[in-house]
Amino acid sequence: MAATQADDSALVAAWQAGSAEAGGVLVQRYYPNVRRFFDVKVPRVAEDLTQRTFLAVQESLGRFRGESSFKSYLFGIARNQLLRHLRSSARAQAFERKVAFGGPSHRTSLSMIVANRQEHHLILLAYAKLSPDQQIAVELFYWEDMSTSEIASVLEIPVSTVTTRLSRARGVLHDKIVELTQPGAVRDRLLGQLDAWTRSLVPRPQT
Amino acid sequence: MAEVFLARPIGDPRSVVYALKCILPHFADDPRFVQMFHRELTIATGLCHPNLVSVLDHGREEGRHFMVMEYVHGADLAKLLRTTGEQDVRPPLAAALSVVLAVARGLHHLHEWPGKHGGAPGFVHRDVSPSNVLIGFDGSVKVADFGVATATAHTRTTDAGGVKGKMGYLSPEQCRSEALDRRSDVFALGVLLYESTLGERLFYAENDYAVMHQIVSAEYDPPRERDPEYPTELEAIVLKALASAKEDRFETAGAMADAIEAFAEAQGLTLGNEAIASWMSSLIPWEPYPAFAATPPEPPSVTPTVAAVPAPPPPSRWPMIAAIAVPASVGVLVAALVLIAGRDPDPPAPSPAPAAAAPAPLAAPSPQPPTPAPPNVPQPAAVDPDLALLNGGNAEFEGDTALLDPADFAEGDAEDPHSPAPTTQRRKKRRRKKPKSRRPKYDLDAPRPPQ
Repeated sequence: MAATQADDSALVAAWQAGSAEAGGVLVQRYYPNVRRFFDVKVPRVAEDLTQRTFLAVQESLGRFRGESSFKSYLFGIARNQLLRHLRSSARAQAFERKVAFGGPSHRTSLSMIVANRQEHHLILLAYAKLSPDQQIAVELFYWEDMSTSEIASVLEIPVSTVTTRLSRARGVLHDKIVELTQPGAVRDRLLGQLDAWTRSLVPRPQT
Repeated sequence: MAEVFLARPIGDPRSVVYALKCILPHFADDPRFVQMFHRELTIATGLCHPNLVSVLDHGREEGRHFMVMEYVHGADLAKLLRTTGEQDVRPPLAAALSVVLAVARGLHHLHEWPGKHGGAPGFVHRDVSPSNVLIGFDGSVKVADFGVATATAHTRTTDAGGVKGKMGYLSPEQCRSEALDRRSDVFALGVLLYESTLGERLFYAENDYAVMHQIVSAEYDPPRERDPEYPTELEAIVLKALASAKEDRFETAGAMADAIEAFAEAQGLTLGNEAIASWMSSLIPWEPYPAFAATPPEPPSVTPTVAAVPAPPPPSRWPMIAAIAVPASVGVLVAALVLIAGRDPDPPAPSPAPAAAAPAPLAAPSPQPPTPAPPNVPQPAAVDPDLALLNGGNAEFEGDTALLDPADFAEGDAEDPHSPAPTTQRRKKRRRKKPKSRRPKYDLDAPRPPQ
């Protein structure tokens, strides 16, 4: 991961110096991650918000000083895009409820996550109960393998708060899974290895 | 997955119009979709009820499976509700209740139906939603799309990927991938009743899992919270149908229909087609019954095409020998059929078509092989979404298949539990085409720890 960060820093520096090629490499590297970030939360507008995120990164590149990792910087912008969308969406929902009949379904692409087992399905159902920032904390920690300090940078909160937020999110997931399942093998297996099941929702390169 | 044409038999210009549903060419050899198509056929063929879309015939021509269904001249309930919402009005109560009552009666018939081979009833539609409720300009109501319906005995309980149906209309047990019975459709009827009477979506959120979470957690506003003037007795019917525990719901769709009728009677409401037709006419301009702009060309010989098919299927009573792309008044493609059953085909003499409606070959009686679509590239639907009634009432049809589990179509998962054993030839064919599950099977006895 450290090597990737160093590589990221070099690419960012080159991008800031005007190398479109370096920018292209970074976009290509993180596009699936950012797309997934939106796809599991707001699939209807995931493509649009992904594009906006990278556009915002490009526009604000001059202000990036390297105090945090590029990945933190990128997800910080993605979070801002998400929260802005959620605010406007909440305002529009009263009308949408009256006209959103029929039309295409916007389901999370199963290629983005490995929701092919009942355990994964249950985790995602419980995940929907989390607040947006809890979801982001869980996602960045388990799916993006980011450190608590990186997540703190994304969420603009102290590291200790990230730890608390993750702990509370785990508690919510646990309670929700208990609510969703009957006592038995599935529940035991899921709660026994909740971290591992959550982590395994994202396809990972073979090592 | 499928495209739907308006169709009529060649040589019979006075015939009523039919809806001809075909598997899209690039899915024609995909066993999952073929099996899904057959699922709908197996269940729908033989069903006869005024509130269910009838399947009249089916077959395979030029490698493409098709089914001939009755055509409903009108719109789907989704379009009516959407238009009502855009006008910021509420559906008339009598019309809304009439629609849901008819759907409940149709579903009850499906639930009670023993299958074409007889036996214990046990079919569940699983995809009851406004898009699958077709409404004629005459106020008739028909439930369509049995593509994901199944026999209760064959519902799965453990495949997360097997969640079927449209978000927002799933029952809690569907969301949890548990076993289903007719009461799952009763829940969907409750959603339909809520939405039709209030003119608003019930379960609605930014993503599917958030919607499912609302459903399993019963997070919604009761009708009287959305509208304090909503009748208390009607709210009781809605809430009973929407009970999280299926034991607390109406036992049958018929019982729910009875409750709706009793409420309407107590309120002095007159339910029926007239109330629906009146509502519809206030929303959607009447359209003339589809007419074929041009006499179909003389059907070319099918011989070359049939000869090109490696394993020609048995002759069908409805061979599709020509299809012409003629913009019809309702904006869909028009297919031409010929009936040859029991009589010699008597194709009409070719007459020159107007230039504007020059028939263009669509399906394959052309010496040129059709250009194969790139694999795995979704094709735009050939049907206007607003005319979703012609698409099995389902503008989401293609998208919904994304969550279907190939294993659900595996051999042995016959939709009709009373089907006789297939013939040897059919068994051989199935063995050849048995899809390999691309997803790990979930097995309670063999847990696989996550990596």
